Amino acid sequence: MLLSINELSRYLSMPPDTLRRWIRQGRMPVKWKGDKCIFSTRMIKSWAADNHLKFTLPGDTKADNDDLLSSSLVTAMETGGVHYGLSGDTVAGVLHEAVARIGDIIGESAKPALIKSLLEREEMMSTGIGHGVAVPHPRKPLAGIDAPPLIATCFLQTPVDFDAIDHKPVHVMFLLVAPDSRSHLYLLSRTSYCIRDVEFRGLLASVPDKKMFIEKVGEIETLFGKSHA
Amino acid sequence: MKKYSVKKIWRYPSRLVFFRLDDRLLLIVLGALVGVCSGLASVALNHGLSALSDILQSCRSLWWAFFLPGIGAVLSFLFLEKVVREGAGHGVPEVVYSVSRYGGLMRFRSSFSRLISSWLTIGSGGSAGPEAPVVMSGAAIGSNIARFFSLNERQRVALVGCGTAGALAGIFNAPITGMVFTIEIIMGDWSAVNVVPIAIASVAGAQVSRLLSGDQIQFTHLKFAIDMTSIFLSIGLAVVTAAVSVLLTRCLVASHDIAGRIFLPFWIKAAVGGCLVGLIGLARPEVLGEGYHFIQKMVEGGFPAGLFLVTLLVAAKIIATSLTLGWGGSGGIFAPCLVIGSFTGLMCHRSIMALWPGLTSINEGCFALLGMSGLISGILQAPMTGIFLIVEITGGYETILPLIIVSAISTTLTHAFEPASYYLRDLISSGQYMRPRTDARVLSDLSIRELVETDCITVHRSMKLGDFVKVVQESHRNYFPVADEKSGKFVGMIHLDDIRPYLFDPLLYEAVFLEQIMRADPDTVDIADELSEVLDRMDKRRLYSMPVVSGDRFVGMVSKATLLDRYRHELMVQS
Repeated sequence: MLLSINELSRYLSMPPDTLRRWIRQGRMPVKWKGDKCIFSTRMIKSWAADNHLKFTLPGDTKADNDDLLSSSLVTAMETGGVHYGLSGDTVAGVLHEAVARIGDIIGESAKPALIKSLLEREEMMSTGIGHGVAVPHPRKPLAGIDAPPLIATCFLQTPVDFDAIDHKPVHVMFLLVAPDSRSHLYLLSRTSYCIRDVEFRGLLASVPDKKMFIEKVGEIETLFGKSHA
Repeated sequence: MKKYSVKKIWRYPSRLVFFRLDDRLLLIVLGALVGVCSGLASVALNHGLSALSDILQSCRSLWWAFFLPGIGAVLSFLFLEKVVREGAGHGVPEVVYSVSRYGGLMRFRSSFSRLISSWLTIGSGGSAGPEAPVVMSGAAIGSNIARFFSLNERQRVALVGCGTAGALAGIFNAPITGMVFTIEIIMGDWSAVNVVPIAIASVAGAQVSRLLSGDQIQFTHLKFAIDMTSIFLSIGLAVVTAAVSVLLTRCLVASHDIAGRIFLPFWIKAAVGGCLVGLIGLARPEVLGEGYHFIQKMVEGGFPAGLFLVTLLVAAKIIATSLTLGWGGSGGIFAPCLVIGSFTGLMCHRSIMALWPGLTSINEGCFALLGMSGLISGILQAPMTGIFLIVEITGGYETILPLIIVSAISTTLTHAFEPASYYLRDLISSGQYMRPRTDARVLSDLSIRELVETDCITVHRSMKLGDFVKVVQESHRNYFPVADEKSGKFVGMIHLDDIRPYLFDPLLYEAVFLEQIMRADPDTVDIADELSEVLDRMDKRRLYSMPVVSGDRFVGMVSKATLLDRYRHELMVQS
């Protein structure tokens, strides 16, 4: 195999200066051919393993998780769907209703555990984060759910008292279910960023249709990406 | 890209797929070649020396004969200084230096310069040995053959070892000594990758010398009977040889110092030193030249000298050697050690005879052997070399038990007084002595350039705290270099700890500039600094990381955490 020293340095995650020295000193099975390094892939892999180094060619790696996350608020919201006119007067009532609406995504068998976990979380402290919005979510990622991270946007028929921090009754819920803590936190942080936006809150009050809503979320998410990149 | 023609492929044997997979075979083949060449060099010097001393033999009895070593020393010095422009010195430290510092890189002219200069010094009667010059030639031959075939450093070091082994094996007709000396003194590393080609080169060197000079053992002797008494007496002998070793080392160093303090042209110093040796030689011709002729006599047991005379000879040879080597002559310490050692052995024998006249079981030849071994082990601090050299050059395995005792005790005792061997003392004191897989070796290989981490985010001195907090959010490091926004000059560092008290105080966000928070003029490391010095500074100031600058620009951070990681890799890769 023929690679430049910089490529080789990337695949071995060692600085090019070190590799140049190792080649000169004859410590690794690589030779110069002009300004390129020539080596046998099999030999360098066994050499790397002997010396506790990693040699990974680009084809060997799986897609990184970061790429999966980068645009996933919209994806999660599309997965979770937008649901209108949820009935119920109590927290437990609307949560039951919301879980019923996403039952086909997470699987029927996972529903009781999810409801139980959501209620437990509400008992600890309300997820009503003010401005009439609540973000119910399980405290820990649930084991039995084999679904991608999702946010179900639920517009309630009648505002429900969630015991929110500003004591306003809740009219929109973002039910958040994620398979691991990392994506859970990531989605929670992006959702709360959206809710801090006054314009977005106005849009929520007007109960927009799904297309318009998702577009707005996408818009804010791009903004978020810009300010944090 | 450069295209290499098929015709030239033999110049790049390491490119052949066959050798690229495993270069051991390549090293064995080239090692044999190097061994043959260095064997030839040693035979050439041996024959040259005997020819020159035959020619000068007729002049020995004349009154002006004492000028001869002086003339030889001047010629040898002028040749080294003016013709080939290489510094004086006997050769072995230069080889060790090149192996430990430059991966065995040596100049081509080194492969013959010491041969000629030591031929002049020793042939004319200077008290020095031909071994170190031959070792240097052999090493230079190995290094240049490696360069001719474009080998890498590890392979070149192996071939330098092959050269020394072949040379020593050739000059003494002693293959095991060649191997052991190379591994003990030159390489300091008993790895199988090196030992095999060195062994082959030893065989090649010894075989070449046997073909050209005949298979002869240097010092033949009668069979000695070794009994309990000799074992116990050898312990006493070891103490004496250790004392003489220390004395010789100190004399060599002192003579070199004295010569350095005299303000005379160097060639005059060489002449003075040589003539003084010649004067001693007028009285006692035993001190002149390499002196192997007299060793033979002593080993055979027919050396006519009493206790007083032998003691005088020990002192005279020590002085003659110091004058030759310290004042500008060229040659090695090996042969003088053997001569002084056999005188010392004889001296012990004579004293024992004087104390207990009835002891008949001990043989003076045997004591001469043991004395040589004791001196070699003491001066070189290489017990294995001392043991095998004597066994091989005398062909007497029956003396092995007292030999081991004398070697071991003499090395240990000398080490107590002179912690570094004569070959290595200068290298150790200048910090240039690095054995494979030691701390010094690893630290000298790694450079700051390789360790620097460049993923720090540089901020400007007039940035507001509020903007900085956003930068902190994205960074995954705790250190932030501060630069001047106009000149780009590095002005200070901010650690996360520095802003922690203000981090949650939005009032300050717009009011405080980074300039006010940063630590101005932090300790920095230059990218070209030696890692060992940087570590010393970090240890002294209890720092775990330091900013690296190049000129007045920030380059990155160097930290002990990364260093540990790289240090381990370096150690693993070296073995």
